[in-house]
Amino acid sequence: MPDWDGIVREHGPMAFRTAWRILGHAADTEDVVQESLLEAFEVHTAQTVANWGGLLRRIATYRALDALRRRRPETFDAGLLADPGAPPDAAAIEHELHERLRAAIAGLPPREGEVFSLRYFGEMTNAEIAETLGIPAGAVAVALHKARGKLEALLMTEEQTR
Amino acid sequence: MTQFNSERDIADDDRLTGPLAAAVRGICSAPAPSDVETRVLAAAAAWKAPVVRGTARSAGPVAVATAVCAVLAVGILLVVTQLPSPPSATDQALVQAFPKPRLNDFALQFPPVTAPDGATPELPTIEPTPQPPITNPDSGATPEVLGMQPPVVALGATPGANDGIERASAGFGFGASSGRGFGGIAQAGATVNPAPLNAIAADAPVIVTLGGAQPIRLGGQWKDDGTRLLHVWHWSQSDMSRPLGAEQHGNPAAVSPDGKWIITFEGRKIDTATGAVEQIDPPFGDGVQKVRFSPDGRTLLLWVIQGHYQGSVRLLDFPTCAPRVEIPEVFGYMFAVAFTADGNELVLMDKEMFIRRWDALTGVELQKFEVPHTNSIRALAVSPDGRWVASAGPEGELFLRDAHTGALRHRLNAKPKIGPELVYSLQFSPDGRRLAGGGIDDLFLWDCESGAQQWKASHGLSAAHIRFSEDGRRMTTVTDTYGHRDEQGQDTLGYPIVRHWNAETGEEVAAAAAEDRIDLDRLITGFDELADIDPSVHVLVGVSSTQTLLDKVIGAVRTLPAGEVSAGVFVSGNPEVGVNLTFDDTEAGRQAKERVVQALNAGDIPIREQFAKGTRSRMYYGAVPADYAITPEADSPP
Repeated sequence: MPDWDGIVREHGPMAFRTAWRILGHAADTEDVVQESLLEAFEVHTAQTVANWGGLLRRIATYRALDALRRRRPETFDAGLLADPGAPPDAAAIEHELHERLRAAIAGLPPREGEVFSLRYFGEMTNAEIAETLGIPAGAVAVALHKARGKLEALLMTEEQTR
Repeated sequence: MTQFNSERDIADDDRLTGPLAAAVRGICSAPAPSDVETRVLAAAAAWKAPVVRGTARSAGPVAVATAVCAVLAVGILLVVTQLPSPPSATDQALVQAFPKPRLNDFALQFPPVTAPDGATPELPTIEPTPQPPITNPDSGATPEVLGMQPPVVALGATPGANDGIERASAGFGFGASSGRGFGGIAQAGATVNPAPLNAIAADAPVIVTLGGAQPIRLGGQWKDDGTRLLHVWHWSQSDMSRPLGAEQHGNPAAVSPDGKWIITFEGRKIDTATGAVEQIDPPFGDGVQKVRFSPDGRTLLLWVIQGHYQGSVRLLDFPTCAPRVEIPEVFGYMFAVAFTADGNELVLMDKEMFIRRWDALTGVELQKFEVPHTNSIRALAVSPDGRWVASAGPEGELFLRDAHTGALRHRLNAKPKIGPELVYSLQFSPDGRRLAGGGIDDLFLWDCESGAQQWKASHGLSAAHIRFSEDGRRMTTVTDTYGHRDEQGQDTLGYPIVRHWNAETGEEVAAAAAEDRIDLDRLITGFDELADIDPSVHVLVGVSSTQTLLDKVIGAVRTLPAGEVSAGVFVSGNPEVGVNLTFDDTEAGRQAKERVVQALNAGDIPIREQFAKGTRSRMYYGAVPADYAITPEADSPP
């Protein structure tokens, strides 16, 4: 059984980054990663785990997506709403795009949101995701395809209306 | 760790394009807060087995309690699922050894109750102290229009982002008559979160948003000139907005059910007719997240968040806005409230996720409903007759209680669940005997008395809004995200989907086709009510003050044989009446079309074809007869 602190040192940063990318909010990320590590620690004391990197990212992703879905709508672009009269700048537009994507991911069916987040925010390959989730690689590809399609359609639609 | 960098994976990366690629790239390149990362990871790395989890974390007593619950829950989980002993360290074994961590498992306060045969067991009835019943008065605040109940669902325009010309994209809102207020407006389809920007009157054809100095056409484009004025649509009179005054007054949070008053998040009360502004005293202060009116318009409800998600509810007398009572210890992350039909009582989720019943006039707690939800309540509903209270949490957890006694009568966590997790919407049938629930994937109907599931239907995108026809035989559902069906019949994001169901069988009786979506936009925008479906001819009937006109059209369409045509009728504000018709591309469909045109003409409504799109859908407008006058509503703004 590997040392717990070694696991945290080796795989914690990527789990943190995954949650951060999903949430984009430091305090939320802190909460989520704390919870995730606690959960992983329970596993560590009870079981042998082959792929700590995958497991940590997976738990962090679940936790982060759950937190994302719990968010009040107002949280999603509080920065913009703070001063609705301010002229747009590049950073604000970029921030808004990010928040729109987060809101859209929160609205995906859970499996699709998980797979998409693990793939692009957790930087895992389809095969790794399949292994970590315990589903066939084909199911990962299908979920990813659906998620991409929905997210692309949503963001494109919004772009066209701008 | 094994690396899998197959060609297919690399190819997957390349398939992100356009704004999605830019968003993912931007998010991934944003620097993570390293100080937070260091702190969290350093604390966790120091955990030793056996660890006192509470002290390992630094977030105070709540965290300790959560940690203890988590430990207990893990124990329960281990017992319940009878985990195999730790397997060898193979990739496959990892999967089998570690059951998918469902987040709520770790917040469980009660072990799941399952009978050996898997059936939902009979729950012990909890008999609380008898409480006065929720009355079901014959409220004068529920006008009948075309035999319909007050509006529940409406669409309104929402300003887009703050650059250039914007489409005023539509957003959903619940009316106060549903007890759910106006704030829950869809994220999708709006380039700025529309929730604070859009408010819809429940019982009047009034929509409010922010916009520039020039009037805005509903669903149209508007030029952002840097100002943020309140815009009011009285859409039964015009689909052009009326900017209120020349000063910025803040973000509209709610419109009174009668459409006469706008309440802003900044604590201003604005007359929609005159634009007169009144600063509500005492001021709202910070932290007001949602504003709701009771169905009778006598109560203004503020959901306030202070500090670290400390929620409370303030009730104000309306229209004086004098503080009436404050209800503390309300859940601070998610808001669930439902008023009774008379507005005298409300049920509310407290911070422990119990439902409590309150006297809205005195602030006296009437009842605490035992057995809390294990996670936050996402939807709450009181039946029209005041007999039932339904509440839904994530993971398809539904409680149906006797509102009079508080007894938990049924736990409706049907198998399969409503979607994989959330229940978005609950709606009782008009007679209060059945409950419909919409989740991410599915639509359910239960019998309240027996708790039996009557049917389940696949809904695709979530059914966020459910409406029964007055006779309870039909249902209309609307997605909360902007979904549409593509050419392959797949649901995808983009435009709202409206579906119609036989409430007795769960069969879909008509669906808006993809090519109808533009029509649908106008149809929905033109109504404050998604209204009824005539079961014999599939007519989507809207509510409008132009009732006579609608009657004519509806009467004409009603002469048609069933099954050949599905039609939507709307009145725009020009004024003219529109009939949105969908015909089958068959000889029978063409004949039906002819009959419709003849029937409408016979109803003194001359028809002209406005545009044709696709092969099946046509939009017809009929000019309003010269002698037809829309009678202004007595209490409506000019």
